[in-house]
Amino acid sequence: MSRKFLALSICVLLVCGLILSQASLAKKTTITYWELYGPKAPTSYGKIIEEFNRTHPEIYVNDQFLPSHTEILQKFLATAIAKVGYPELILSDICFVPLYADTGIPIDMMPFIEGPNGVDLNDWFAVLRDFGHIKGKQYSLAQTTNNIALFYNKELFKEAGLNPEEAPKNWDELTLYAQKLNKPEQGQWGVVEYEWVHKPYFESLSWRFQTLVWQSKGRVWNPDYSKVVFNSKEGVEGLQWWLDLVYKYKVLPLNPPEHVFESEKAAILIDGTWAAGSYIEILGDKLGTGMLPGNKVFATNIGGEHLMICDSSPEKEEASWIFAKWMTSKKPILQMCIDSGRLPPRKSTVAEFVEENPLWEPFMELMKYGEHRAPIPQYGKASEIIHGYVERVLYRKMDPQEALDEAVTDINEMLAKAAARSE
Amino acid sequence: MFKISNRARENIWGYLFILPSGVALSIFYLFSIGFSFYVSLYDWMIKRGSFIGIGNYMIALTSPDFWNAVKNTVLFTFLTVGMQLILGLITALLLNRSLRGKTLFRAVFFLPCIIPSVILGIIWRWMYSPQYGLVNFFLQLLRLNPLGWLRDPTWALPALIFMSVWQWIGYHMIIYLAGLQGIPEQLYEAAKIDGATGWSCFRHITWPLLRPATMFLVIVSIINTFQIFDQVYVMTGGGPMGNTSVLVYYLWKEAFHFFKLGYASAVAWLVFLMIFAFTLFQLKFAKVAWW
Repeated sequence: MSRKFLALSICVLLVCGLILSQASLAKKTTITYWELYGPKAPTSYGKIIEEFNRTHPEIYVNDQFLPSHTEILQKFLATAIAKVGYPELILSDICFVPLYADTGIPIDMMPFIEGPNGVDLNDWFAVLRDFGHIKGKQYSLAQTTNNIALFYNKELFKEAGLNPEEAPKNWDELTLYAQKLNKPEQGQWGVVEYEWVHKPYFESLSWRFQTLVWQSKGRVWNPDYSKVVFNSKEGVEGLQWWLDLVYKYKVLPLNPPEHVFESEKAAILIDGTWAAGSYIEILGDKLGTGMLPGNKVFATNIGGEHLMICDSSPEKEEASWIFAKWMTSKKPILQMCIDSGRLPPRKSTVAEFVEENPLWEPFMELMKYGEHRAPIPQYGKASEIIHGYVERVLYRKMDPQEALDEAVTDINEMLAKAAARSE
Repeated sequence: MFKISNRARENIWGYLFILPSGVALSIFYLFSIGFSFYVSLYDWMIKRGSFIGIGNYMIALTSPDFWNAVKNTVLFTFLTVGMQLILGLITALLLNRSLRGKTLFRAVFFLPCIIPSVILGIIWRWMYSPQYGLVNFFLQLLRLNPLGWLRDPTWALPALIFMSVWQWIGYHMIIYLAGLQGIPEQLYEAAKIDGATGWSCFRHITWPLLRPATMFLVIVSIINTFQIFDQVYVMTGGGPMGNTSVLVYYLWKEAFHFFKLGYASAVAWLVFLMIFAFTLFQLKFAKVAWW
């Protein structure tokens, strides 16, 4: 066989291979999916998507990883303005859903939900279902959820003479426990807040403050989310409790050292449940979990990630729905959640989830008392304002009532301008 | 028919060669600048809203958060640039003599300039860690109290200033070294013959003849430092208590956290006007007075 003939044959084979591969891709409906898990935990996420691609030969999910929810949102904004380049499916942090919805690009998923290939929305926790329901349309479907809970070190409890199987249930108990556990001579703190004033992201402190108001049976927003109302005695009560923990009892550091709970220099930690996986890995059997201590009632702030389908062709929207339904079905949800501390959004998955790891039980119990943030596009700005004023109170630059009054004035002014703009 | 001269013919070729760059510059630079101004005149949040003229500018000029960012930016800029000039000059003077290993020293001082700010920000965030950081470790070695640094409202901005000064001393040193090496040695010899001391030589020879280098450094450093963003984004997020919220970080947050694109564009134009005014003032002032 001459060399020229061999070279020509190889070229022809390569070209045929290329054409065939393109042809096979052309038969599939390709959808682009922006998400933030990628190579990070939960490591099963990529495998879940691979399994979908393998079991659904007519659809190809082009999974694109971005490092954070904020980056996904910013990239989406740029494409939304140009009205080109946005993906078919997005994974969004719960509090960004109204912002995405406001662009007009995410579609109403209700026709799919109620259609022949739909899902039972009542299986989702009501607080998650309701958040994605904006102005009569269901813009998002929760894929995972989380909340704020209590973690504690059983060894340190034992050393302080406390029952290691019993977490504090209310503010008074937490204050008492923290005083017994606080050992400044050993550099050990009674209680530490991780999503708090020292975090650069304003939402950390704001979402924590809101739980204090709810726990005292107060309201943060009015029923139609047109005004904030947290400058009530319930709001002041929460801030005063924090001030007492920091300055009166000296059991809560304003700026906790890094990894103070993991290094067993703090006995109780208030943190998001998403971090639970890493605490179990580090503390093992010493880790205890509990419900976020309430005041007059239990309450927690709900977070998590939601899927949204963007406006595209009917074929791609259908394919996106099939993928979204699959990603929120029982097996993928449990795969994602069991090792990571992310919580399943569907009630039918709770029993199996808790059976796999009983430490997660208080987190799921808390879902009954979950409250969500305001599902409005202006929530971010309101949160930043809350953060600014609460921060000043914690640094003792402002009195709690004065700070909350000014915060409410600023936020309501901002909301009124936004309402006037949209008329 | 038009007769094209040889010179004109040469010019045409020149213009043709720079045409691709010109087109790219126009699209990605001039158009962006113009569009930014256009956006600043609208109540623009994701979608274009109503025309409000100078409304966004008035909102900025009456916003306490904006003026807080101005205050922090001005403080940061003038303290950082001042210290960079002084320390850069001292370093250049020290390394402009016959010294064993001076090339190595010059390289070591210049190294931070070529490391991306984001990487340095991450490193320094750990160095400033109140619990585990190197800075507090050395403070405690000197029997001083550790500080909260990036978590302390009082020390967060000084921490950023110190980091920026450390990062750019090398750059100032290099420019001053070039300036120093351009000063004729005969001037110093003549001055010594007349009995001039070291300080007199510096005051009457070195410093005046370093004027071009100093002016260049002042103008360029103020323009760059005024636009600080990376270090704030990585290290402090504008806190605590807004004490490190600087103008560019403030407008980025307004644009990309809250989607107030019109307002953020207006702030960007105000930043440009401030830098422009500072630069004009410096150029005018330099002509009037030079120590």
